[in-house]
Amino acid sequence: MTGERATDRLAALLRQTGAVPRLRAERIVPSSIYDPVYRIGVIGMAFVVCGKPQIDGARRLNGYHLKLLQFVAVRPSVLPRLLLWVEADKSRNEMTLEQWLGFPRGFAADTLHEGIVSYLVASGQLLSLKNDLLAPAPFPGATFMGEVTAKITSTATFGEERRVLDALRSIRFTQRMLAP
Amino acid sequence: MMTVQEVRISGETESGRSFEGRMVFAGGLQIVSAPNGYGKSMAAAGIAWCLGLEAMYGLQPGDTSLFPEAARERLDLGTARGIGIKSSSADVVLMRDDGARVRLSRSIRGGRAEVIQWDDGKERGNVVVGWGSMKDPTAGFQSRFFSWAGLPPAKLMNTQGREVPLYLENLAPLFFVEQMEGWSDIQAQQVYRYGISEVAEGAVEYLLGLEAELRARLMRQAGATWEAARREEARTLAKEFEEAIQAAGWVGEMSTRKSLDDLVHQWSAINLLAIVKELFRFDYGAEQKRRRATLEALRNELTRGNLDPHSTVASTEASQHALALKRQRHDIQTELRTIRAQLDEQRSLLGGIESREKSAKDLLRLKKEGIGILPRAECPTCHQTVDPENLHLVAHGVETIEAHIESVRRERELLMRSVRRLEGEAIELGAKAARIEEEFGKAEEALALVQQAVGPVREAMVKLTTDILALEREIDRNDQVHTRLLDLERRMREWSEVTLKGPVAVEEALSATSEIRLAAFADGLRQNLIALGHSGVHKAEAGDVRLDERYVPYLGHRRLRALGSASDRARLVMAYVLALLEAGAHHPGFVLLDEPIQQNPDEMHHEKLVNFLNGRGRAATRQVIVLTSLRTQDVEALKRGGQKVHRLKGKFLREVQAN
Repeated sequence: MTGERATDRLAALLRQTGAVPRLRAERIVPSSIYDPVYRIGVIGMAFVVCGKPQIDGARRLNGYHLKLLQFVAVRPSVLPRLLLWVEADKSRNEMTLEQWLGFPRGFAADTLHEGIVSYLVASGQLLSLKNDLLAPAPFPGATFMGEVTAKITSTATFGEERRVLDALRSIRFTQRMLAP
Repeated sequence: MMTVQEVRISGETESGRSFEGRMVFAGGLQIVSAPNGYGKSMAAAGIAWCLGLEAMYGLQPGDTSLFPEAARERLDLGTARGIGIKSSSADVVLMRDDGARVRLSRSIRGGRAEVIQWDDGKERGNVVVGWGSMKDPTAGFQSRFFSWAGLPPAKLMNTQGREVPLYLENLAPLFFVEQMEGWSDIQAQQVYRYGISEVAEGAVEYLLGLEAELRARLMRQAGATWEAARREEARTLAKEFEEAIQAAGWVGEMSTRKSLDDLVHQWSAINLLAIVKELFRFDYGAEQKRRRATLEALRNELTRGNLDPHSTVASTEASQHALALKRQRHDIQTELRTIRAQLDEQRSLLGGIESREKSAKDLLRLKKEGIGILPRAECPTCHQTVDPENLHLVAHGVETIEAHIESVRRERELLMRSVRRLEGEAIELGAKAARIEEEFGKAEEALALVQQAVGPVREAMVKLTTDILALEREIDRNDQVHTRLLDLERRMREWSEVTLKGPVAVEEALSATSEIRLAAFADGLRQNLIALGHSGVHKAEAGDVRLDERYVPYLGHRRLRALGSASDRARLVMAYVLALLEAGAHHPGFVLLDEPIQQNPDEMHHEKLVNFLNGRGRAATRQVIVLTSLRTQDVEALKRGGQKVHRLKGKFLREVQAN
């Protein structure tokens, strides 16, 4: 065995069993949660469920709040942990979401959301107002996001995402909690 | 059978003024003519309300929306407009053929709409309407009404496979034709939302008195749900088997996912002890024989054995046994905790994967409907094209999403298998832990007793006694499992025998009485259609009008509903309900027709109705109430034909002057 590479030894063993190595060249299938259309739909639903209605029918949400809402909505299993953190904060834990180790690290590294928000702002589907984002009236209107949101609402699809958003609607997230 | 004697709507305004509207009817044909807006439909609604028929109007019990505003909210009295109503109610008096009367009163506003006040001279009090009013023989309106009217209760199956009664609102669309919807089709206002299967056909059979056919229908329906019921029972028995073996510390599954025939074949000679022997290597007979032999030996040792007065083995053995069990208990509990933690983790993972699969399927649907392509957009301020690709946003294609769904599905199935395996292990270990816990408790008791005994001989005797007791407990436990399995085996074989026989056969042929009634109904329908002047049925071909197995009228191969002009739809409804009234054996005995010509104010339609009323209508043996708006020449023509027309003017609701 001296000088024999472990991979050679493994290959020899596999040959004895008659195993045939096969190379699969195709990419691993990407998860649908990284599809921008899906995420735009979730953002639209977040505005519908959690957005603050304005006098003219527009809806407004804090940008960090929106990032959190859409992140949890597409990962329902995170919801119980997030609720624990909210409870802990009530007992003056005062730990921001990014400081809290119990939250998935992917939240900070999620660049897809930033890209989508940039696209929606650049195309006038969302308006950027300092820390807030505004979905202009009429909402959902005749924009692409509006079309996706209206379709989701009328067909009652994406039920799990809606359930999570409903659960988060009554929670008040402060600027301190969401601070990056 | 019965007639409607009177309907009255009365009440009081917020300013204390009393108002009332009243119509009185006799037997036979009752023609009431009043101008549009008089309040004829309000009077009809009063009858429906007092019979608890609001479901026919698509309303929930107690919803007064079937009444116009004038009976519920505000009305005009004399020259005063829109006076607020404080309270209002409806009263109906019905009379049976034997002269017995009942007054039904029900509050519309300002009282309890969920009850009807019943007063038949003998019994006076409130009866409830809505759900359960058929089941409650004392306080339920439907039950009281059917009983008073001498109408037998009847049942059909609902879509959940349960027997449910036919309610009055299921029969009423065949004798109460309401102005707004009732004329659009036969039984246009049938209440389908209760989920009663074949309710329309059942209602016709009921009113005609085709009791045997209605019973046969119920049995046929029961037959359709019979297989589902047998399967459900088989699943329950299989579940009981799984619980029985779990109690004995084994884990196994008895599948019922096979054809009913295969299951019958398998269970007809099932031997659960043999199955247990094969699956868990537990031979009940041999095991009990061995234990009983040991028990006998221990008893002999206790009663006749020579116990060593110097031996300390008994105390040591008892102590070691308790210690071993304690260790075993600890190991199992540790293992169980690990498995349960894994199970929680995997279940949560499975939940996540299931929701991801569902989301991906929803997304796929969006993509297939053409909403899935992220469009280029234009910046509203700088008017430059916003290309999603520049922001690294690439929408997934249908194929990619389908591939993702497939991979998530595989992952889900893998996880489900793992969860099922872990669940099995947790059950098995849980049962084992419970058994060891019990054994440990007994071993500790035994150890305490041995330690309390004075001298090695007594220690040995106590040890032997506790061993005997432990062995007896095991024998008892095995006997219990044995008895439970034998009982289950007997029930499985019984299930097999019953299932093999199949559902009860249903008599398909019509009884002679039913044939006569059905023929009379069809004949009456043909004559009514001709007399009413249905333009799709000519006299020469009237003999070809027939009823199909669902009692839907056909002319040859064409459904009658599709023949003739739009106004013939109302003639068909009228011909049908009047034929049913004449031929029906379990019919309430009256028909109410609210505005049969409202859609056809022209000469020809008036003439056709007048001719019918002067002809076949005149010969009505039962009460037919026609609420309509006739022209002077129609009234004259009816009078010439010997008809009495109640001509009403003004408004139905009028102020009642205090004396």
